Amino acid sequence: MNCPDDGRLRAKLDDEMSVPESQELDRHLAACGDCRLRMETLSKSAEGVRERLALLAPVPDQGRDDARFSWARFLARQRAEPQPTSVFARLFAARFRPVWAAAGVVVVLIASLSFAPGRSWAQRLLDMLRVQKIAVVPVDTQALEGVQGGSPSGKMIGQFLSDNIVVTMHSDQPQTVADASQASQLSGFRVRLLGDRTDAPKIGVLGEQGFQMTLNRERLQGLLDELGHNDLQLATSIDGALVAVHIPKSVTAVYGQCPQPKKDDSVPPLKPSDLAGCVILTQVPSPTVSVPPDLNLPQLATLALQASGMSAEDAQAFCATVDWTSTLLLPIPRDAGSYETTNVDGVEGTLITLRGYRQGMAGYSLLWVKGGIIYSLTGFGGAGQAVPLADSLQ
Amino acid sequence: MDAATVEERRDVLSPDRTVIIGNEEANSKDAKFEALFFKFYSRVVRVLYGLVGDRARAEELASDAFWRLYRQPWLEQSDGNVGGWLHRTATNLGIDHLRAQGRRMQHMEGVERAENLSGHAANPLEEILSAERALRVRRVLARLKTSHAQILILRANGFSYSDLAESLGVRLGTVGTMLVRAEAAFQKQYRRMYGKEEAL
Repeated sequence: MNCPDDGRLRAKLDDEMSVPESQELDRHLAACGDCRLRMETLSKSAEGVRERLALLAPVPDQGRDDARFSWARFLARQRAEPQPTSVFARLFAARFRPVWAAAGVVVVLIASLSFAPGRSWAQRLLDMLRVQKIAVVPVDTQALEGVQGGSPSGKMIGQFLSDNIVVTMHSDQPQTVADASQASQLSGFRVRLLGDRTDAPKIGVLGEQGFQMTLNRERLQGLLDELGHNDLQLATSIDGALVAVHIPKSVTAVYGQCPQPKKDDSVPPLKPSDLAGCVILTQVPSPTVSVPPDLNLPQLATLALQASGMSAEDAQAFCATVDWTSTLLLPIPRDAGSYETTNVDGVEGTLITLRGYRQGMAGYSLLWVKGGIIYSLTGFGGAGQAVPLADSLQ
Repeated sequence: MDAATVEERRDVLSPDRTVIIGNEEANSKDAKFEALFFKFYSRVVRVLYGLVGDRARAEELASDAFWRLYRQPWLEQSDGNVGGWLHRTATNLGIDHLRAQGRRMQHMEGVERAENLSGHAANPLEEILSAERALRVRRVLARLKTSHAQILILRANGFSYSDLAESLGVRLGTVGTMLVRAEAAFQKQYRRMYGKEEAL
């Protein structure tokens, strides 16, 4: 036989070979001094590393009581957190769609800004970006969650955002109103409801929200390094740049029985048959995002999308089709569902079909922008009902 | 769930196999997940404890790994390699944790060392030295490529070549080569960081 490679010698050392293979290798080793020497070197190296790693051996396992205790803790955590099994779940968890959507804008912008090229910009606000269109971008959540490839968790990004964002206007409790006209009066825009639904929705108006972020180059660079993109160097000029987001008042109408954003023990869990009637309609005038002038948004967004797991070619192709000054980017996990563009309410919309949510029920989310208002319609069951429902808006 | 149920499940599920239980054992996602939790939890914590050196932190990271598993859309349908996915995810989390702790460890090592000591050792000096050596190993692992650190950690936890292939999603025939490369990378990094102080 030819001289075996190191991998086979290593397998031999670990006794991880079939008997015939091992015997064949024995015969070869008996005749080949070079391989015996290599084997000896490998053995020494493996033993050295094994000894080091043995230092990490923990105390013996403490057994099933720990697992039971941990299971109880896990259940408590499950109850305390919203069920983020899919985008669908997150839509419910956030409950108020515009907040969630604006967060997407901010994440993308911040990510984009963090890749800013080496140019200086004035510290003044110039561009007021307004949403006129929605574009869905499939993202690889594993790349962000650190399941593969050693990239760190989204937790780090979340921590980064929470450390750096200053909330300038905050409102977390919606004001309940009786009907559409009251909602219109309170929100300042004409609120529409579903004509096809005869049941009365629960309508809530959420106040304005605003937040801003002053970029800190050092921390952004640290984040990039942790994300494994230490080849990308940030321009010093981005330090201190300001990004500000303003979200106008939004209105959410909840039809039927819908899951609560957080599990509530006092309420019995909903059965799939209950959820079938759940539809959540949210409408909000376009949020505005103020960014420093002279940003090359397509170029920056391409880099940001790559950071979220998209290939360079895909990111370029995607960004070429998007007008960044007027498009709300909606990231959805690649494996969560599918999306298509469709005609709705007289304009072009995006229909996202989501695979199994709770109890395996599928769901949908339909998004469109009309007359400066962003609409989202989310519900359980087949996506086929989304467009007719949306078309019944009045 | 009551103790009797736990007992029964644990007897049914061999703790060392990474084959997911069949539908007759668990019909819904939640029941399936619960069975997986009891099947793999202790082992995942053990691997993480060794890696991060702090039991509470290991349990927290294990909980994160299971939380991610729970959120996987494929969990309901898949009879795939859940054990492999869990160990890969858990070690990734552990390695991320070590990296994130990297800078802090430089400043805090004295404190950490003190925290990790039992206080009851027959030879306190030996215990201090041993804790210091373990800390060095963790620092070296934190500097390696994730795939290298992962295979070394899992192998040190008694994973066979077929377990490793399953967990890391690689062909069985490549495990030996991966181990050799990972060990070489470990030694090189160790020498770079501590070569002046000790020989490997």
